[in-house]
Amino acid sequence: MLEQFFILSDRGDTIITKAFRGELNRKEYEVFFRKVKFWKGDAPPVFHSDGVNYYFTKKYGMFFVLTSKELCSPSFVFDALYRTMKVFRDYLGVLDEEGIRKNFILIYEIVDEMYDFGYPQIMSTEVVKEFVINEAVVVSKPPSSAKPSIWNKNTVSSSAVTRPVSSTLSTKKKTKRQEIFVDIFDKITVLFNSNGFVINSSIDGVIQMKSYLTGNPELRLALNDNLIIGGSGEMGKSAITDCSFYECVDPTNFENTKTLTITPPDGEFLVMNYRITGEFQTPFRVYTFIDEVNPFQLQMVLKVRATFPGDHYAKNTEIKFPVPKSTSSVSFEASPTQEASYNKSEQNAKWVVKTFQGAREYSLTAKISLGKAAESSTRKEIGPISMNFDIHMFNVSGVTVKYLKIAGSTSKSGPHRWVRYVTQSSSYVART
Amino acid sequence: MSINFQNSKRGELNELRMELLSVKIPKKKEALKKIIASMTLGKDVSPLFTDVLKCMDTPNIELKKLVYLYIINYAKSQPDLAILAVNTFRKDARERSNPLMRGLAVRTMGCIGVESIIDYICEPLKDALNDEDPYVRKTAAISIIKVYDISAERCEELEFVDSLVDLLSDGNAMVVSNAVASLMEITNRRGKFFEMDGGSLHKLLTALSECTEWGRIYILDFLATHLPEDTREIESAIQRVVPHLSHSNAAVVLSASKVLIRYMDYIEDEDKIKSICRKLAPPLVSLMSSNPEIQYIAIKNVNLIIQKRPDIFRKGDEIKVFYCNFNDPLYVKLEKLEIMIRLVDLKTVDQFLREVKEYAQELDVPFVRKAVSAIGRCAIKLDKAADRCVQALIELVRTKVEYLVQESVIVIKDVLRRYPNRYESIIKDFCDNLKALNFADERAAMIWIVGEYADKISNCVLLIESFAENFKEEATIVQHAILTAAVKIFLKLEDEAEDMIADILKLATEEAENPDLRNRGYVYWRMLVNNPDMAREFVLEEKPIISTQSENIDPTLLDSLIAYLGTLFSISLKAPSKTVISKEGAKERFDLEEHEEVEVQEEVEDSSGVKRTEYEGDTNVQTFDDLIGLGDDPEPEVDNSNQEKNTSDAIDDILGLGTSATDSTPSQTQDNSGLDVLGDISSPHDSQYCRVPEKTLVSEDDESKDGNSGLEVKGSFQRENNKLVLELKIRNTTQIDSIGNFAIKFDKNSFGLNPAEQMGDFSVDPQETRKEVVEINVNENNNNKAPGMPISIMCALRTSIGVFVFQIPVMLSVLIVRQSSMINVKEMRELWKVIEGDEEMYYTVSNLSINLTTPQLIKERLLDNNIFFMEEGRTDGGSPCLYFNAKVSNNLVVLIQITFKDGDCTLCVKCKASPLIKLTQQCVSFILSQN
Repeated sequence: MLEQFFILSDRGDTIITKAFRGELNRKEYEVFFRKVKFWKGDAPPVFHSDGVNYYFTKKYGMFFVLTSKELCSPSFVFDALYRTMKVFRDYLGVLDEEGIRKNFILIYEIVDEMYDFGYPQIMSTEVVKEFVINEAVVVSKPPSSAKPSIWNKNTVSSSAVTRPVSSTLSTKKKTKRQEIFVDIFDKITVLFNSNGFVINSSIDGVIQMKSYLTGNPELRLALNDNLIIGGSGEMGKSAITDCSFYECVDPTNFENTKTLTITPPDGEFLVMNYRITGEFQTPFRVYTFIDEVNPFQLQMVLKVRATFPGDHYAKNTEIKFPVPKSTSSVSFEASPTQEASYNKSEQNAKWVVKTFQGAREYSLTAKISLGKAAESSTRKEIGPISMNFDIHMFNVSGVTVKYLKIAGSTSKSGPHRWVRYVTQSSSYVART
Repeated sequence: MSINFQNSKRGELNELRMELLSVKIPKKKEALKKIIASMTLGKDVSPLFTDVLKCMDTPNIELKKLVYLYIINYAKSQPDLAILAVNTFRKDARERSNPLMRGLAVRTMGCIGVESIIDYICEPLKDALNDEDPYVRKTAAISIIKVYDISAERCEELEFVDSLVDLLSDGNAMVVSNAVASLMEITNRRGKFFEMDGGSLHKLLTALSECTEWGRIYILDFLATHLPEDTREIESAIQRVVPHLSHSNAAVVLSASKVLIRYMDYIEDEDKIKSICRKLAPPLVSLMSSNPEIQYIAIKNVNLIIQKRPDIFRKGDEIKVFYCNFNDPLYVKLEKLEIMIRLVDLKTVDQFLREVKEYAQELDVPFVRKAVSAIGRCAIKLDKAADRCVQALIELVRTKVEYLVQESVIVIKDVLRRYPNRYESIIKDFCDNLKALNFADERAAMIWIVGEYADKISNCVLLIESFAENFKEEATIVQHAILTAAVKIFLKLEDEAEDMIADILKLATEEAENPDLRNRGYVYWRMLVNNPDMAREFVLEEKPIISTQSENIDPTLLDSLIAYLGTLFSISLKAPSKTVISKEGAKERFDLEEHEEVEVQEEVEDSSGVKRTEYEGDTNVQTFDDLIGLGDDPEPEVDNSNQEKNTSDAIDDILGLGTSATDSTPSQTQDNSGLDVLGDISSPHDSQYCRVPEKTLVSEDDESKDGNSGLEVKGSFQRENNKLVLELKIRNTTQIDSIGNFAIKFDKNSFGLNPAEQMGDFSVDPQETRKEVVEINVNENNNNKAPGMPISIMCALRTSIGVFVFQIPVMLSVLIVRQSSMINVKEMRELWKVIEGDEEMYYTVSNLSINLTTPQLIKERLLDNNIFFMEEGRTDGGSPCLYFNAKVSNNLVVLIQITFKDGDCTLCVKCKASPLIKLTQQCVSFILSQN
């Protein structure tokens, strides 16, 4: 089982060290840091040195490390590590070095409850809370820096998102806001062949909640009725190929009524993952036309058409494609609100459309000047074209929330419920 | 400066001490927080230990927790002080009002890892096991393993292990899962002792659906290793495990699939198996959408599962799921390609080829290479699609992109071998692209092709000559390839190639520095001069057809890997039992394998799942005098020992068989070699080294030369950490006098054994026993002299009550050394034949241990005792037998054959020195009879 847990700053200072078994040997985190620092390239998340296996992740400018000497399942260790970080974040609101340093006694106390002799014990915030006495010292920080980019500022409605969970629950002020956030993310993977046909497409979706409700009332989340689980659905209906649920969820009635009963833990938690393979309406279609103007110049016309409804838009759409090795310069023609640039060191071109309105088509003409005459293979060096985008309040999977009932509250005056849909590109690639 | 610093430090500690003595609790807390903060930074605050202890007796739980935190940290380094805290712990453990306090006390006590704590902990721990609060019980369950860790014997004596089994029927799922975790760890250390019956199975399954995900993992892993005996129970277990496949924790999914796959073996109903497989596939595929680290682990495991149950992904559509995404990390892409090759069939081959051809145009060279080799492997796998695959390869070669050509040559060689006389027309395309061949692997492959198809390539002589231009600088495999190809060409074209063969033979025999190459050159030369017809027969012999089957893992290995699904083993593809090395032994093993260090480094990286270093050329060529490698298996079994594998890799056998598909796939080579290191680290298997039972050497009544008695000595020779030692237990049986002034001396003996050092200065008080370990030197120069039978060493022990003389019997097993060099199977085979048979060599093992039920177990047992397995074979009578060899400390080699016939196990020992035969028989049957 697990041997040690430690948090190091990126300069190698120890912030937290905890030995579950055996004696804490100062050398081990030194060994770890030296190994990571002097690794050729990036150190792998699991490595072995002198009888010790190190599992680490680097987040928020710190190394979070678990070590083991025995046979462990790596997936198990990483899940435990991520879960530990989540509990810290729930307690501290924002996970950063200052917060951990200020609260190190609390962190030790939490770690003591979470692991016993290296065995993960209680890994959820609300249970740990029962056994932990210390209170978090909140470090004030501008919330904007703490959130990952997918949390668009415009849609974050409350400071609640970064506030520590425990203070909400332990202080008995009456002014606290009762609210719950539901996010439905569709992460889509699409691969087009050079003729614009879809070769492979899938959606990895996740329903995620963040709860600030007192007393953790039971929730009932109903999804749209026309959802089909398992098997391939007919057009017009959303068919989920496979889904998995988290512990707080009771999916007994899901197949029949599409309703999930949730016992919400505090703070952020995942409700379910779903996977959809098979046909669905791809939000963008990509067309490319490459012409050889003369042996030293290629002209590429890239057309991207948004097929989602016109009342939605994609933010910060980024379209990238590699250009031939022999490229000497690239000039672009695009509408003035868009930016296109050529990066010589990475040999690729990037086109950014700040706001991509639905049901519109944009095009980019790239004139690629070559340093030497084009060969037959030069054209093939252009592409594939990859896209990155977020579309808010729209999801391609068609998974929607029908209602969210909170036990013990009438629907009118009940807590605020925020539901958000986001479609994100995971890998959106068109071959040329 | 330094004095100032000292002062300030002392001042700081004093200040903290004063604060600790304060009556105000908040002030004490502040001080403790400061102390713990400095502790975290690595400062030594242990001088405050007693002061901190004084704060422990407080009703304030926050303060108490801080004190506990401090104690745990220093308990190991200051056990004597920690014991002082014991009374408070015991008091806290009896604290009735607060279960949190009771749990804390038991937990913290367990962390004081000194043996003396057991006396204090056992009572509170027993109470805690029956506590009314589940928090205390679950803490107690884990504490048992802590006690076991401190002293396994005491833990069993106190029957804590039995109470763990009782805890399995606890009403609280968390308690059950912790008990299971403890049981599992104890099982790993002392072997399986818990039998799963219907009742406990039911309890575990009930707990399974109630406990946390971590608990589920413990229980599922436990279920996977403890199979119920009744088929109906297995079926009901399967029903209850299936829902856990839809858990979002990847480790739960993998553990659940492990249970299902293991249990499926015991189900006979085909339909049921099919339905389970159907349920298994989607969750495994869903793991592909987790983060890359988890994906990598998942794919590696899926690869194993597919081999075990090929039907799981038979729908044909699943292959798409494993298509590589543009933004996948390289290590995920490479593994996805492996799966694609496994899944591709005639229905999907077209879309597979389209997809892989796209990959071949990407920029990531290792990935592109793997894609190209995937096309070739697909051609070998699917006879009917071979045309399409070869067409695709030719297209790639015609792009003239260097690395495409290079990789294509390597795979096309295998394709040509698989389908002789079918694709000769494509050779021309390759001959046009010789310039691109920069690295050893592809050069060797191309040379093989030239040699093989000499009659179809008009300028083959010129080609070989141009390849041989820089003969001396070429890598060894290329040199071998040139030599073999030259011989083939000569045998086919004769006169035309006469000059060429002369040059090449000259190069190989006179200029080459590699003795293996020189040897081979001479053999060819002589063969060509003396008997060209025989040479033709050997060299141009028809080659066995290769197949992709060779990529599959050996079924027994596969089964043992399936048992470790989801762990590091499943990623390293190394059988756990192959790497039976205790933690202490691991270091030594590293030394032995020093020559592989470079590779090991790469491997660890690789398995961890981030980087996959492309394997360029054979970095670890271990050549081998395999002149007429007739019997050499061209497809080495994956589970052969590491060294053997490397060997057969490097043998570019003289018959021109070429290397098989397996050998030329870089990933396969990588996976096998080096990774046992990972296994070493984490091997759960205890070494089965058989200790020699101790003998009474001097009994109470024996008299010394001076006529005194009163000394009892028991002991035996043992091998510890690969060193020979003499373990003695000296007991003083007198009533009054203490005995001291010990010294030991050996008489001359055939193994040249002598104490390396004298015993330390000590004396044994009346009625006391003292254990002494004396290191023994072995004089290795004492070569090849056989000892008398039985071996015993005459020994003199000087004491304060006179000199005792006695004989110490030696079991040969302690004199068998770990061999660091490679075992040369060929040489052994020769040796086996040379020694004449004799009635005396046969010996029947009468009391074979009941634990050694399979040949595999026997191999492992003997390996642990430094007796190495060589090969399997059949006796003249046709019974299966195993061959082993061992080396005695004076460099004599012993060969052992173990035959199984009609339930009897017969040993046949051959050795040049006949006295050793008896000794070996005695020693092997001793090893095999130990339980």
